[in-house]
Amino acid sequence: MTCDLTCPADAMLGDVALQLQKTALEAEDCIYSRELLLRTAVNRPTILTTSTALQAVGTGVETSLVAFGTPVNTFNNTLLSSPFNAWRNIFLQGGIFLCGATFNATAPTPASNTSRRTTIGLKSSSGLSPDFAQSVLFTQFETTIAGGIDICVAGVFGAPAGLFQGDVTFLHDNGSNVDIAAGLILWVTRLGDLTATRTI
Amino acid sequence: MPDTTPIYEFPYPCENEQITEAVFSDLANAIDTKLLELQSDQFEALNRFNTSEFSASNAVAAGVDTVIAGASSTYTIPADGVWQIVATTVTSAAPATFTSHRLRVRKNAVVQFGIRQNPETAFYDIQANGCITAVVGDVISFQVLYTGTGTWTMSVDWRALMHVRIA
Repeated sequence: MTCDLTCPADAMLGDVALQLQKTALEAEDCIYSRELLLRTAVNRPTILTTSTALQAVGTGVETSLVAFGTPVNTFNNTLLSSPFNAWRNIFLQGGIFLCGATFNATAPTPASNTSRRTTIGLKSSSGLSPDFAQSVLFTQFETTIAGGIDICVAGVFGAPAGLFQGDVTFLHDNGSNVDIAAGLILWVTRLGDLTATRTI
Repeated sequence: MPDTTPIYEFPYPCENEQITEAVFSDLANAIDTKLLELQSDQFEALNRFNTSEFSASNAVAAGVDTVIAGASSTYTIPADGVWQIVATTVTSAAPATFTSHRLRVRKNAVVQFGIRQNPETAFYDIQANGCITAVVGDVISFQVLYTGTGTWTMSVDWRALMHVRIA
């Protein structure tokens, strides 16, 4: 780090005090601007939300889990405040994002070998298409054993600024409802810019 | 009475104050201290905690929700932050018969997330991947359960990665 800090010149004592004040203020200004850059670079926008209530998903209906079960912010170092809208909208900033979902899905009346499909990814924010533009999906199958299915899906996505929102959907063919337990975690962290001109 | 800068409180003398060598050294030391603090933060930012370990082998009985034990079976969180935990079962001997198997990640013995699979005809390894907040001293551990007969001999290959440090 280099800064042009002026040195005290030969002068009267009052001038020395004034010069030291000027030096102190210049040093602070120089260091502060660099601390801001450091904090901005290392404080990666990250959001974790956790649902607080059980909520059911009907059979054969691909259902968004983003606002499920009255989510609260577990961790959020962004300016986006509303838990589910923050997770959904952080991708509008643009960049490379690592995101995931973990939850338990238990059917009160489970049907063995029926499917449980979880999809996570990006959708157009204009709403013109309800389909995922980028996605990762994982399909599991009911075992008809107490405790339901523990599910976790994660993926890395590249989002140009202003184009995409995030979503997590769940689809099953159990024949009756499947309950998404409280404790559903949605998480996302911004890894970096979509196009990096220089990496260190 | 010396005054200080508004943000970092670097000291400087006021008018009519006696100027001694301490005035210069106090200011220099204050600036030095701040620079060392930033240097430390920069180092920690570029070297986020990131560990990868392979647990000791465990013999898991059918129907018993088993906490993985032995060497490298737990991780004590070294710093507050947002952590991603990825854990994968590594099977050395599959059970005789099987209808489901499950791997869960715990923080201080409380389940955080996991994965359960219906393996049907082929017993394969499973991976749990999730993100949690944790503070210094929290203990990450792993728990497995399978239904069937026989013994599942396995280890857990896991990694813990800090995404955000909370100072």
